[in-house]
Amino acid sequence: MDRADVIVVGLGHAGCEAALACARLGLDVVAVTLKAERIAVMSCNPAIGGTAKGHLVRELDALGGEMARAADLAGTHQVTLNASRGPAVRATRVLCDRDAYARAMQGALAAEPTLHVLEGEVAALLSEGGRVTGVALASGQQLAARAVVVTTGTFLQALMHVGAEQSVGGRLGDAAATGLSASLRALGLTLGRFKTGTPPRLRRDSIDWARCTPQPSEARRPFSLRTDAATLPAPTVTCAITHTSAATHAVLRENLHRSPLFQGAITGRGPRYCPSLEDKVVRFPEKGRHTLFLEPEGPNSPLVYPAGVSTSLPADVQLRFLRTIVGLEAVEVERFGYAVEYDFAPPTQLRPTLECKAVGGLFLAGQLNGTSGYEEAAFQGLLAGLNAGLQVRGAPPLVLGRHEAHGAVLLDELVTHGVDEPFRMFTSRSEHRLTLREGNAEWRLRAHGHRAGLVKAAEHQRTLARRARVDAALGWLSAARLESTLQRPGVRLHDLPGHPDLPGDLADEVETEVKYRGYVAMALASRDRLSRTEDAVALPEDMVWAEVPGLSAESRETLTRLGPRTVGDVRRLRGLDPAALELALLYALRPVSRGTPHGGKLGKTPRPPESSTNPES
Amino acid sequence: MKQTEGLFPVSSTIVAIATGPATGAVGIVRLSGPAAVDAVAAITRGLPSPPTPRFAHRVTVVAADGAALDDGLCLVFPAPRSLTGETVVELQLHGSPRLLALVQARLLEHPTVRLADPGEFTRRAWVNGKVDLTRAQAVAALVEARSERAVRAAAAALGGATASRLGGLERALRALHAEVEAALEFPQDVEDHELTVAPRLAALRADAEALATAAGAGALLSREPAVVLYGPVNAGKSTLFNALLGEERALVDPSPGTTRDVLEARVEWQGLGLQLKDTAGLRDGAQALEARGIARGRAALDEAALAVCVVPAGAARAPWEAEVLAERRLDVASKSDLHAEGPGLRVHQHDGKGLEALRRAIVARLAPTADLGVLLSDRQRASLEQLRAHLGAAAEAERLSTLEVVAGELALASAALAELTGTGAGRDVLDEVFARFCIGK
Repeated sequence: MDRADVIVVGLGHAGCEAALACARLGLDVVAVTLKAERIAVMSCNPAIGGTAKGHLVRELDALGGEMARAADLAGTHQVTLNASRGPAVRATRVLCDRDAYARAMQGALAAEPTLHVLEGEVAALLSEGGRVTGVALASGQQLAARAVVVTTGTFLQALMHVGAEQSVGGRLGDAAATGLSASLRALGLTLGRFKTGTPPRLRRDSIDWARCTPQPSEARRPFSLRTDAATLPAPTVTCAITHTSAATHAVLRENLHRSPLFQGAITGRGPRYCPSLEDKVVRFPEKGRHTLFLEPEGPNSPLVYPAGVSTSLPADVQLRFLRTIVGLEAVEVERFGYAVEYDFAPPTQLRPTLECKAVGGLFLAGQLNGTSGYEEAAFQGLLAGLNAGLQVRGAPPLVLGRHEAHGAVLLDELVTHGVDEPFRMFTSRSEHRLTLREGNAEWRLRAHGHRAGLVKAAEHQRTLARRARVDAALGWLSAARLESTLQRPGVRLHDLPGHPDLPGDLADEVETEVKYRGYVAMALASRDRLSRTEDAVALPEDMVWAEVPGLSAESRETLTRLGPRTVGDVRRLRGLDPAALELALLYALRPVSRGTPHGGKLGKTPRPPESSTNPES
Repeated sequence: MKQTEGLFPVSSTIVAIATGPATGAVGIVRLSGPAAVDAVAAITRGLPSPPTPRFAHRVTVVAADGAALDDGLCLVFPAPRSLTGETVVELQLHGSPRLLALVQARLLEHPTVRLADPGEFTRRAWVNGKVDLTRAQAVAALVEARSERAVRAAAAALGGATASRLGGLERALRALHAEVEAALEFPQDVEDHELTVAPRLAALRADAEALATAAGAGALLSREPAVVLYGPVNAGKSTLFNALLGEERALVDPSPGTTRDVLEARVEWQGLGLQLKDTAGLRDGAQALEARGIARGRAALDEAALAVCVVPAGAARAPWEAEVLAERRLDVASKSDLHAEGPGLRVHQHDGKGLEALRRAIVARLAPTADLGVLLSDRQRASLEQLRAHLGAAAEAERLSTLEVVAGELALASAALAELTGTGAGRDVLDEVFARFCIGK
């Protein structure tokens, strides 16, 4: 039987980051994919970044991931979202040439000498005594490994819907993975079902661009710390905006009965933030029109991605409503939109390292964990791959605190609260939003990436040197008593006489740190007041929630499933009513003298960092 | 069933004497919990099995030796249609404190019946969703109410006035927070010109301000304010004190410096309860004992909700008025017969002229609005202050900083309001965003 240190199953956005992380630790990696030519394909919109997602990409990059670099190489059009709404919500969105993006990522994989890509389908996971030992391929071949990272996206038991037509497949033109679901269940994992969708693809030359509002690109800026601004290719694409009309809405309403969603043929839960156009028309009848963003899939691509018209209506209805939209009167559709239903593994079955609680050495990442989005998948992939690799090497795991990264918030929300719809990251999910900016990901995470072994010493040194320049400027401001001047609205560093000469991105950092100092301090103080004491009170590790008298069966089930570790965890739980919450805490923290072993222990702060041997399961 | 005598033993049955400690015509012993009917059946004759719900059964309570103790009525309210949501039994007996204590002791012989902790009936009602937090607090306030206004305010809170007031504030804050978050999370769907932050924030701040005023009025009802009479020696403060009280509490004498200690009396004017205090007249060069009295008077003055500066008509007022800031001070000219003319409130303490006007002026200063007030705990008033501070910071950020700072302050304001209303962590703002806005690609 062939042998590897780590096997990665699937090479989408999560799988690529997982495989690269392990290989960069110097481990032997076998990455199994159904079709090598489909590695790192952008199956939905051709963009990387956006609100909260841009943050994840910057964090991933600082930790030593690849996504930002690939987007820099493949970018065709770039915008800064929320430019005027504050530096912490400001987000980068890069439209990519779909083919160039996949080529860039495939190039990165090929550059790793210890990474081997294998075409095939993993039919089963092999395990022994509660630990994963390898995988069995559909071909009958078996591969042994010390850790396995599964990143199969939407491919488990996948079912596609276009109108009433259904077909088995994880993505248009690709097969589904059918064996792995049973294998995960046999290992003791439970699976749920979600759905997601993608809009039709339009033929670029059939659009009347003159009737749409052009959306030119901003000047390109590097996403990745590894990219030299001077080498960035210029924008090559212009997008456009158009709107639906009353006629569009009429077509949709007349044909609702033909939507699998409204018929009830799709039972999986879909994301609220990515509603189908028919959904929007039904739920917001007062809105006279909805906006469409027309995004070419590459400078030479004949295809356009219309953001805003996700649909699973039958093909003839799609064509009819599209042709009621300004600029699309003669549009031709290359591929119709569809919905896909798939199995996901509720992530509360995972440790904060993304290792399964029930199976040692088995890590799950990406859309399989019930998330949505390339960026969310990639961040999980990097952390799962890194922690698999660290475990193989016998090194301590990397678990980031919620105050350190939006990616840490993502992971904590997944493993602590679970998901009830495909999970997308939002900046408001973080209680530390003001301090988790795209601009400071470098200071927050580069050292972690270096310590873990993903960031080279020279790259880390470069970050230290850049930070030293920021600190020197902050020191100069303080000595010159110019901080309060800089705090005034509209005043920039270069407005101050004798200011230090800094590159634009570092000057931005200096300004933001000074301007936000007061708000950040106040927010910190308020949050501390609310939560510090509560997070320091640990609950008994052997807490049996089923024994708490007076709790509803539903509350007991929620508490048992999510296994809160501190009083703060219980307070943050969703779906517990206040009285149940109070009851649960009173019982959990009742005095030891009542003849039970339970009792809150003050002064113990169980999170983070924590060890991967946390006795939870 | 597992015996769970934890900190919160919901499975146990509680008992308490529901009527006051004084002798009365009727006394009530109340039980709540699964064993309530069993426990009563064990010490009475005449209760059918099962008893008819919400029906007055005639029963005889018996002692351990079988001798009859009293005849009375027994009402059974089976769970969940009861005060606490558990099975509740009320025994209505004759109102002898000794008898009621005996009956309670008999009930405590049942193995799962124990004495109720203070407020536990209401607490159980809250746990079982029978009352919300503000109503639960109102029950306690009603029991403790000492003045007419306090009774009315507690009754209003019990009727849901506080809950609906807080609910309105919460809905407005959530809506505004959702609008701002929708703009930040979906910048392509919500543009700046669609935002209405400034006017909505101003309205919210006005509401929170009004709530704080009402809470201040409410605080006066639970902690009755001190009104202190002060002024120069021989101004007639003690005569005025007695006249306001309508009885001779303070010794009065024409020689200066008669009053040495601080005298206190509780009065209720226009339904508002307050502590009226008479103090030693202020003067320099007083002897040791009198000087200590003056020091006590000054201490009382420092803690007073309102200081009434009593100076004889026609005498110089400035040095005495300087003792207390104007917003805490009410100026009164005493001995109004001495001078026909003069500014402000004038009283003639012997013939009662101006007394009613003074009482009204004092009440008007302490409780300026007809608003009865909102009853909040100290912890809740602290949360309300946090709420106001964050709303203020949000308004400042709206003018001077960025939308994300506004959003951060609104999130903290929401957390403070959730603490105030007792709704715990507060619901997810994203749920509100998705419910209100058409967003997403």
